[in-house]
Amino acid sequence: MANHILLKNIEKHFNNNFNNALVLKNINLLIEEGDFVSIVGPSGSGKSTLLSIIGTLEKPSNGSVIFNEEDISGLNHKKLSDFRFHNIGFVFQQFNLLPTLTSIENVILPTISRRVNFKIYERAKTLLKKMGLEDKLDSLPSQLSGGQQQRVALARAIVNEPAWILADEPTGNLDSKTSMDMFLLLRNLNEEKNCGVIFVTHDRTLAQMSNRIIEINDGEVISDHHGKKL
Amino acid sequence: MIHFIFKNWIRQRERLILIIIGLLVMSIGLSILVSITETNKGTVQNTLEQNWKSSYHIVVRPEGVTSLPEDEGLLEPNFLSGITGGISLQQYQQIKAMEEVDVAAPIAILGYLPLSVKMDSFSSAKNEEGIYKFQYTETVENGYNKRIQAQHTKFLVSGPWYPNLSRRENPSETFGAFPWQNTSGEHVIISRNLLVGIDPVEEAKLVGLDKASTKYFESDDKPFVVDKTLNQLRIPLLLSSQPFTNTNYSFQLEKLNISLPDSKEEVQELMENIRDKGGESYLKTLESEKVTSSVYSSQDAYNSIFDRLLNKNEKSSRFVNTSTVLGEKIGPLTYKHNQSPFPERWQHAYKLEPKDTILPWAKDKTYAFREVQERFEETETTDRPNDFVRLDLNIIGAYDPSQLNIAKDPLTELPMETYRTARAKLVLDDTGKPVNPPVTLKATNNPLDFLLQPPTALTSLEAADKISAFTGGEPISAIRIKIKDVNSLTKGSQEKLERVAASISKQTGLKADITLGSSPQSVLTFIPENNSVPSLGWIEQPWVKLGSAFTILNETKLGYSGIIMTVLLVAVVYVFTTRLISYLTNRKHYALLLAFGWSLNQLKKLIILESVLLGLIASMTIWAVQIIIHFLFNTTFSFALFWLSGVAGFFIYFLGGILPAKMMELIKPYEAIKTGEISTNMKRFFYSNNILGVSFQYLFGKSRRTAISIISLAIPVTLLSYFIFITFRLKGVLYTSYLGEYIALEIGSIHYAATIIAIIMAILTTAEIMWQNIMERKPEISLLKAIGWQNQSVRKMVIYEGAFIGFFAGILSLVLSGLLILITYKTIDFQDSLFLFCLPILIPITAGSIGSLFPAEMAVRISPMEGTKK
Repeated sequence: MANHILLKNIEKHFNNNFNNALVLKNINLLIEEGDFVSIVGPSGSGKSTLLSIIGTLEKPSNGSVIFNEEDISGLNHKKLSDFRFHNIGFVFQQFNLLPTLTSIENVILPTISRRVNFKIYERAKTLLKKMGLEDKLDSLPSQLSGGQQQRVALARAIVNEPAWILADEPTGNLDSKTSMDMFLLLRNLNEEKNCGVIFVTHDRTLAQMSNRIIEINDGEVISDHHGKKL
Repeated sequence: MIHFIFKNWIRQRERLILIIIGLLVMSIGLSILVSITETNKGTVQNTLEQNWKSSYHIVVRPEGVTSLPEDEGLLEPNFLSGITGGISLQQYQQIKAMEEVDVAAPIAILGYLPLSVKMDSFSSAKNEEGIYKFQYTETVENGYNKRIQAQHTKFLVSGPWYPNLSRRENPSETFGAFPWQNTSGEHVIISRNLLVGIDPVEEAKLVGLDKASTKYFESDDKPFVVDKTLNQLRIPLLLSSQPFTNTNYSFQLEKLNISLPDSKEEVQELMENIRDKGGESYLKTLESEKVTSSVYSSQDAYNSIFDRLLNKNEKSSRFVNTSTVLGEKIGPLTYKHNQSPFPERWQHAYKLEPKDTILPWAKDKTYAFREVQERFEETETTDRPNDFVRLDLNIIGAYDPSQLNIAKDPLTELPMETYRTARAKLVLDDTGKPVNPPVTLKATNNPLDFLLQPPTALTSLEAADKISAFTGGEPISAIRIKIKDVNSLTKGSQEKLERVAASISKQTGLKADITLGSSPQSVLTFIPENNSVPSLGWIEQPWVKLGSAFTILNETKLGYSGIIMTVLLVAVVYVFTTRLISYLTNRKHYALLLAFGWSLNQLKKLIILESVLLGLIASMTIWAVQIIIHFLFNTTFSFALFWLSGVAGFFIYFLGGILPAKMMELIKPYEAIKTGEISTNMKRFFYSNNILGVSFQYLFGKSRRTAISIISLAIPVTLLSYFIFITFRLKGVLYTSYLGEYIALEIGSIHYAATIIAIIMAILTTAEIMWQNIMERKPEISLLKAIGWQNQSVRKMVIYEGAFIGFFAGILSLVLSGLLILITYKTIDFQDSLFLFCLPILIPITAGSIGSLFPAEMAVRISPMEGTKK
């Protein structure tokens, strides 16, 4: 069993001077390699925080994140960034493209200052073509529609062929048609490349189409069940 | 509203720290500069006034007396000794009568006065009859080598020999020998003193000659004509107690190995035989045995003169002849321009022209760089008995030149005082190799030498006038003038001196040079081979650079104002930039407030109020720092400057708020929901496939922001480069004279302080700009970290951005400072300024990089989580 993610007794609280807000508590999850998981829940339920912890953007207050038998919650900055580079691709609700870089530059952004054993431009071009953006290679984010921007962001997430794509409400800013297109792209990637997908969403319809649906409320997993297979 | 401002400050803590650092650097920097400038300005003036004080303000000379083109404003050391008259008593009275003239001390160079001193005699050594060889050798020592300057040999016959010759015949020419007579064996030394006529009253006022003398000129010490037909005068004389030269006079007596027959006839026969064999030249070939010898120094001769004449020691066997004739009158040196072997060290170099003159008493043993001048003017009448001025000396006393009221510090001495030898150091030998250590040269008693002794025999102007009545011509060589109420080196005194000098020239037609505010300047002179005396090499002498102190004072004052202006401008740029950037960053925030229903005036008030608060803090800090500096270092305190600097600090911040307040009008409320400034149509020069590229594209993308950053860094750097250029130029001016070198050391510190302050401000400007950039790009940076960028890469990216801004600012400031220099100085010397051209590029790149360090660390600390959700 390779590239699975194991969350053990995860707890997260944010300290401020007045109160101790407990955002996540007692999270125990095993996410298997190549799975397609959606995390649903109301605003402020802690689903994005959970995704950040899985993606090593944040450290849990208690508990541990075990990736492929290795506890990664105790790694230092440098090792964590290496881990993210090799294993995780992020897609965000706000697309988070660098406004001063073109599509193709945004796609290759993760590989900058790193040594990789593939031709980054060719791979970036291939990926963007696959996303239907072959004529937008040199466009700036501001010249792209929301759906196009999110596809660039997705291409950027998978440029280094990570084991997991973590998507934080990737369709939150898109209309339902483009949302569905986006979802199908993720689904395709999951099937073709055996790349695991964890995505946080409000959209129950989309969530229903994933392999596994984890529902969170007030920082706790309240349900964990299989979705309808397409 | 103040509450709102404070809250904003506290929320943006890092920015507040930067603002406070900037404020402190500016306030403290300005205060320190104001304090040390005020103090240093005083120091420079004091140094100039105290150390380079010449005992006179203006020197008046006849027109056309110098051999040297004075276009460089240079005056040769002890220039006075080359001028032998040319100013009439009437002209002197005219100058003396001028209202603003306090002291007018004339100096009449009359020529050399030979004083013969009988030291001893060989009479007692000659105890048996025979032929004696009497040899006289005069050896001069110039501090570097000894040289025989004169040598005479005479043969004396002690015995029954009375050459039967006619009056016209000289026994020495015929027989090669003299019969030994009473005075034949005497050791007579001729001490040569430069005789100068002075006005006793004025000289006492000018240099305190009366207080330095054993006895001074009194009313009954008047010169008078003894015999008009013989040109004979009796003159009062004051002698210097220092001879200033070092000459050895050696007398040697040898006895020839010839026995003298007893009878008169046989002796006569022997002498005729000698005559037939060649006389003196034959005698010189004969062997001899040394009998005795005596050696005397210049000082010995001097001591004898004083002992005999001043102490009236009648018992002394030594005898000084107070009847003498006036000796040689000497002309000036002739200088030719020469290529300096080390132009960086000695800007000016000359070569002395040898003269074809021989001293009668030294014959072929000496050399000449000066001409002996005709004493008597050519006249129609030829009833003069002969061309001599006969003098009976009334020696009234001695003066000690070291007791005179003239500058004595050898480091600061001006080489134009009347009472000392010009300083000269042999620094390079005749092949141009350095003489190590350099040798200080002394004057010799050769009146035709390049280095002369100062006047050592003083008489009254009246005596000089009576002498010139015999010889014709005007007696006075130069007049040294002191002007009333000129005590300091100020613009006022300079103008006054210029006015007086101009009116002297106008009224008398004489040349009047201002010597107050002159500085010694090192000049190299080559002493060539001359009359078979080999070349000495290169001598270094302090010459007089006329008016240099005023130049230095003006230039340093200009420099000081320049420094203050530069730092002020840099401060202004810093404040304006940071306020503008702050406005740009908060624009969305302001738009939001507008959208909520704030009025435009409220927003403007907010900005102005913030500026007023910052301005108040600035002026308080400036005042506090100045007070602390004043009490800690006891600096000069100028209330006007104190007040002004505080007000300036306030207004810089206050005005810095005006533009952003005005720009509030440009904000539209809907901007609150619009995303930031991004140019949409830009060309790609290259793909960003490395960190450098990402940095570059970012800067290029936010072109407006980047332009402000570049300009705000370029302005201080431009000023700084220009300012450093001025500093170097000033040093160039300063290092041309000793005085300047001294001053340069004194003002160096303030220039460095100003430079450092300006650079710190430039760094802070970059830091603040970069900080704002980072704050705005938090989401981007956290994204970069989320997608796996390492801290090191993020850090590099920010520093590259700073360096890029620096690089472009550098190119801009290179162009701007080049233009500024061109405008001010009309030319740019590319070779000399290469270093200066690197500065505008290197400083901003460094400043940009250093300024980015802090923002880079801020960027590194941004968590990858922060920006991913909005």
